Amino acid sequence: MIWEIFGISYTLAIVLLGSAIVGLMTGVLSVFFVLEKKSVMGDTIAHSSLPGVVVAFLLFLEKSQLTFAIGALISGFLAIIFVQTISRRTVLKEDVAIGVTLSIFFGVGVALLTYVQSLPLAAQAGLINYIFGNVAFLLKRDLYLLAAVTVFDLFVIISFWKEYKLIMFDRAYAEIIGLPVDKLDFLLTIAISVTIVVGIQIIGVVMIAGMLIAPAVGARQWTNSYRRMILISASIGVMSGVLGTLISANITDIPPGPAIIVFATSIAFISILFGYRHGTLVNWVHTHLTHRKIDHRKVMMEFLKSTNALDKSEGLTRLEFSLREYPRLNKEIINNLARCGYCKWLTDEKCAMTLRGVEIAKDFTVENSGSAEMVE
Amino acid sequence: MTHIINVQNLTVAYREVPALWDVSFSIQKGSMTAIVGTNGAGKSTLMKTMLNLIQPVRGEITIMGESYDRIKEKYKKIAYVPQREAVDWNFPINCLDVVLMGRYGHIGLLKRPGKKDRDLAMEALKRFGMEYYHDRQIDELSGGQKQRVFLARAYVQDADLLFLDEPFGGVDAKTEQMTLELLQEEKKRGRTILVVTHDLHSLKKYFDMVLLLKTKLIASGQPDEVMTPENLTEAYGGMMHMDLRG
Ligand SMILES: Nc1ncnc2c1ncn2[C@@H]1O[C@H](COP(=O)(O)OP(=O)(O)OP(=O)(O)O)[C@@H](O)[C@H]1O
Ligand SMILES: [Mg+2]
Repeated sequence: MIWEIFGISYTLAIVLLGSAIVGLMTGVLSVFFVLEKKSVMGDTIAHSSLPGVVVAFLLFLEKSQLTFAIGALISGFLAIIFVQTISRRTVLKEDVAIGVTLSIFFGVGVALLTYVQSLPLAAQAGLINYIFGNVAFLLKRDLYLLAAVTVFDLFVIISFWKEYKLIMFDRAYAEIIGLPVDKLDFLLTIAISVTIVVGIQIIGVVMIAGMLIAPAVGARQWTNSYRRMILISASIGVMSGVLGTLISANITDIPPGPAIIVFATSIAFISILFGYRHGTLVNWVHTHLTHRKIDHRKVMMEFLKSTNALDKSEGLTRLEFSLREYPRLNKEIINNLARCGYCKWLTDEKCAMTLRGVEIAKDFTVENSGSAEMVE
Repeated sequence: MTHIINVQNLTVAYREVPALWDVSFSIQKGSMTAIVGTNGAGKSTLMKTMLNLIQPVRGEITIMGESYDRIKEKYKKIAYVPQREAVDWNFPINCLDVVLMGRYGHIGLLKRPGKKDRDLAMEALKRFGMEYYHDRQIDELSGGQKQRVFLARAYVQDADLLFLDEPFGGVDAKTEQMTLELLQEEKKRGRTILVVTHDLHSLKKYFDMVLLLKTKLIASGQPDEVMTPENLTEAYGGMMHMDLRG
C-alpha cells in the first residue's frame, strides 16, 4: 500500500489523510471568514459548541463522536440565533452581541467542564480529547464523513463562485441586482457550521477558530487574485494539518490541535513578513528599489508643467530644458528616459522632450496615479 | 405612464431619528435627476430606500409600477454605483473582474462569465479610459479611477435605471465632465438616471430635475425653479452664497 512506501502505519495514514482533509476545508472556508470579516463569527460558533459537547457527554455518558458532534452543532446554532436576536432586538451592535454570546456560552462550557472533571468517570478522557483535538481514534468511517463534508463545501463554493465573490465584495450591489443573498448566506453558514463540527474531532473546540483565520491571512499576502487566494489558503491548511499531525504523532503530550495551529500561524506570520504582494519586508525592499521609477513619473510631470508654460504654437517636439532648472533631475534619470525614447540629450546639460514623451507625460497627469511600469 | 419612479410620503428613520421626513416625488422616464443637500441631508438614505436596502417607516415606493420585491429580472433594470465607503477596497480583485460583476445578472446562477462577457467588460473599461489598468487590484487606483471602474460596471450591466451615489467625490473636473457627457448619452438612449452630487454648478447644464433635500424635500423640479436663493438658504443655511452662473 502507498503509505508503506513512506514507512508509516495504516493508522497514521488514515490520521494524516483526515487532518489533510480538515486542513483543506478550513483553509478554503477561512478565506470567506477573513474576506467577510466574519472571523469573530467562526470564533463564536467554535467556542459556543463547548457547552453542547459537555451537555451531550453528561446526558449520554459516552464518548461517541457523533453525540459530541450533535451537541456541538446544536449549541453552535443556538449561539448564532442568540447573536442575531440580540443585534436585531436590542441597541447592541453585532460585534458586541458576538462578544456577549461568546463569553456566556464558553463560560458555561468551562463551568460544566470543571464539574465533569470532578466526577469519577473513566470516559472523561474522550471528552478532553474532543476539546483539544485528537486523532488517535480516527477511523476509516470518520474519513467518509470528512470526505462527504468536503464534497459538500466544495460543491457550495464552486457552484456559487461568482455570487459569493460579489456578495463579499459589494453586498448592496448583489442585493440590488436581485441575487438571493440571504439564501446564499444561509447555505454558507451551514457549510461552515458542519465543517467546524467535523473539524473539531481533529483540531479541537479551542483551536479550530484559529484554523478559520490563519490560512487566509497568510494566503492574502501572496496574491491579489480571489481564486489564487483560495488555492493558497487551502494549501496552507493542508500543510499545517499534515505537519501538525506528524509532530503530534511523534511527540507524545502534544495534541494535534495546538500543533496544527502553530504551523498555520507560523506560515501566516512568515507570509506577512515575506509575502510577494503585501509582505512588509518585500514592500520595504520594493519601495526602495522602485523609487527611481517614481522619479521618472515626477520628471514627466515637470516636463508637462513646462509644456503648459510654453507657447504651444511653437510645437512640442523640441521642448528644451536644462538640468539646473530642475533640482530633482539627474543624469541617470534622463538617461533612462532617453532609452525609452521620451527625451534626447542636446548637450551635456540640456535635453529636449520628444513628442512621444509629451504624450506619455500628459497621460500621467490625466491619470494622476502613474503607470510607472511604462518607464522600465 | 411616464413616471418610472413614484415616491409617496416616505419617512425613514435610523432608530428613532428621522433621516427622511414625508418625502414625495416622481421621476420621469428618460430623465436625469440630481439629489442635492448638505452632508447628512438624507441623500444616500433616499437612494438606499429606493433600492430596498433600507426599510421605510412609512410611505410607498414604486419602480416601473411595482414595489421593489416584485420587480423581475432586476439586473436588467437597475444599476447602482455605491458611495465609496460601501465597498471593500482591500478585496483581492482586479478592475476587469469588478466590471464583469455587471454581467453576473445576465449570466445567471451556476454559470461562469464567458468570452463575450469579458469582451463587453473590456470594452466598457475602454469607454471610461481604464483598459490599461484592467489587471490592477482595485485599491491600487486613484479615487477618480476607482469611480470610473464602477461606472464601467454600471455601463456593462445595460440597465434602464442608473443610481449613482456621489460618483464625483474626489474626481477631477475633467473626469466629472466626461462622465456627465457619457450619462447624457445614456439618457438619450432612454435610460433614467439619478445622481447624488455636491456639484451645484453642473445642475443647470446636465440635469432635468433636482431634488433638494434636508431631511424633508425642500423643493423639487427643474434646476431653475429649485435653486432659488430662498431654497438654498433653507437647505444649506445662511452661509451659502452660491454663484450659479458657472
Ligand atoms: N447606519 C446609520 N445608522 C444611524 N444613522 C445613520 C446611518 N446612516 C445614516 N445615518 C444618519 O442619517 C442621516 C442621513 O444620512 P445620509 O447618509 O443619508 O446622508 P447624505 O445626505 O448621504 O450625506 P453625505 O453627503 O455625507 O453622503 C445622517 O444624519 C446620518 O447621521
Ligand atoms: Mg451620502
